Amino acid sequence: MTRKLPAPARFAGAVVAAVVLVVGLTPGLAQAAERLYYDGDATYGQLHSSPDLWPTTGGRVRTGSALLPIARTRDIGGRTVFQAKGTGGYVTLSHGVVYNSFSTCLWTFSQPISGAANIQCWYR
Amino acid sequence: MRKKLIAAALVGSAVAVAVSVFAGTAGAAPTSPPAGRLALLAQPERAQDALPDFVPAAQLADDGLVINSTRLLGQAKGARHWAARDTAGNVCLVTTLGSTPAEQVTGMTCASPKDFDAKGLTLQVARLTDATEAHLLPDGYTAAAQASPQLTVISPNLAISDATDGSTAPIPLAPGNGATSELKIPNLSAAGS
Repeated sequence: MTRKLPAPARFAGAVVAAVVLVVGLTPGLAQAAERLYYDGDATYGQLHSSPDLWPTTGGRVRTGSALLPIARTRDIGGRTVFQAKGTGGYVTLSHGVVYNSFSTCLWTFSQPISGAANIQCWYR
Repeated sequence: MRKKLIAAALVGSAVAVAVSVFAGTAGAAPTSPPAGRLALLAQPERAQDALPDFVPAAQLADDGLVINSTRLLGQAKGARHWAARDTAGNVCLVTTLGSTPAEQVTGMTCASPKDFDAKGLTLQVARLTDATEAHLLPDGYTAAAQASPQLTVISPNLAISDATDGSTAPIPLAPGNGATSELKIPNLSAAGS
């Protein structure tokens, strides 16, 4: 035996469900679009690439201010199609879809440093 | 009657929650000005400050850019440049080459206000056909940038240099107009090919 809820209660339920959906999905969608592919310490001039050929639209690299980060998209032949390098210790790269491409990150030392620096590279 | 009251209370609280969620989302962007020496970022937003439609603003927002903080610095040689802030309060330089979603490439670099005051921000953005190298200058270095043979001043806080120049030596800028120390602009041309 089922009893039908009154219309206002059904509306309230729908609104609550919508709110839960919005709260639950918004952060998830933003995160699902990008992947961390390198997280490690600095070694001079190391190039890291995303693990598979992918239709990439760019990425971002965080190195800290003592290093010069470079975000790069390379095609299947190894050519640099797009690149951004910046001095702030954080650089991002955004472009139209490049099919069958690798997202890569690289960093150099803009000044002598001591100690370790953590590098993180994402692609999307 | 009691059921109707309960139902009405449910509707009211659900709507209140929904309103607070959306109001909270819309109001989440910080509006406080950065501590860096860049008065431009404290100025009211003008129509031309908004990023053009072909720039992937949602991606930049995911990367930390506060979208309504962008202030157009100028354009030259097919590139457009903006100063901006990120959600952590850093000063950012955003550069775009191209004018359609398919061909555009946009780069962004950000530094803490302290680092920005000491070194400015330099960003090089490249694609197969062209490249640009832009320098976001703290207030007080325009005259020195105009005197530098390596720089072309586009606006008081924006200078560009040759992205294909082989030199790696930093470009020194003497202080003036409120700035107190020399600024050494990094030269990215040959750094990390």
